[in-house]
Amino acid sequence: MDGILEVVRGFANSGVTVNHFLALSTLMFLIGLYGILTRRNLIAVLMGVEILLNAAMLNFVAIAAYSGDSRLTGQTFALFIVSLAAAEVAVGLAIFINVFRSKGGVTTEDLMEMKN
Amino acid sequence: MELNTVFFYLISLAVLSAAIYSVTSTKLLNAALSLALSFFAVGGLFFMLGAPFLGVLQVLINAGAIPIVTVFIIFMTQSRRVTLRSNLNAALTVAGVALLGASLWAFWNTNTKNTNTQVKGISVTSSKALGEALLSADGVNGRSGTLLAFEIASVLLLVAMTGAIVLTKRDGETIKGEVGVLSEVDKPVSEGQLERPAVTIEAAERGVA
Repeated sequence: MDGILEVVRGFANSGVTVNHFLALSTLMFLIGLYGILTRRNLIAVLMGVEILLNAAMLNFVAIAAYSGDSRLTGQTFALFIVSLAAAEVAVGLAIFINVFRSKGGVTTEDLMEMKN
Repeated sequence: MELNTVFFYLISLAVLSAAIYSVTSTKLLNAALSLALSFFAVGGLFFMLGAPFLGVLQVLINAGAIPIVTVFIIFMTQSRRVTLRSNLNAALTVAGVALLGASLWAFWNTNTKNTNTQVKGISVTSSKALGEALLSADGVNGRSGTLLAFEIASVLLLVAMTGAIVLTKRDGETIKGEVGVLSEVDKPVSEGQLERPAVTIEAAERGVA
């Protein structure tokens, strides 16, 4: 029993390194990529892109925090990623409304007329 | 006792499970809301990393504004009975990601013992310093910064806003246009979205006539 408690205590005291954050953002990136590649609905594809952008943002902030970024470059570029994501969502959803008006749906199959 | 590790694992569990549910859910509305939950948890990670301004911004924009707009577009374009395809079992996905994460952690954990990636404490960035870095350039405010990129980002946001208005506006129509066509289209269908009847021509003709 004491051994288990010791293990738990050692785990809690082990600290969080930059590698933990890098592993987490790698997993987020893979999840977003999976969403982009498997979803048929365009709105769901856009959600996958947002997960990718957030993974990149987490990487910027984590590496900036752990490397002692005195000029705050990492956080500044994370701010730019936020504004980029907002602009991307606004334009993307406007395009989806246009696709819906002309095709009657917002799936990738609705946009396949160049294939035939 | 240091609680950073425990909090980190709890928050990353929330981030990953919400993100996995968001890419595997068969209901688009649930996917959008769980994406908001995932981004909210990422905001918590930003607070852990000593970036409170970015954490607040993440909660306001990525977990607040973007899901609201996405939910509006889902309501406008999706029929209520539509179920998405999900060609992978969600539990299988969770198990696979857990396995991958465990292997990644085990890979890195051998290299992280007493190396200089182990940082004792992270100092909190003040919003004032971040704003000064954002709004200064080589000849402006006395220190180097990203003023030009800030201006470019603001122009990008302006262009995106105008572009969204122009893209959603139909020809020969004022902004306060007719709204009946969309609800005509959005009849519930039985089988999925692909079987939705091709309504655009009829709806367009009805709209013209």
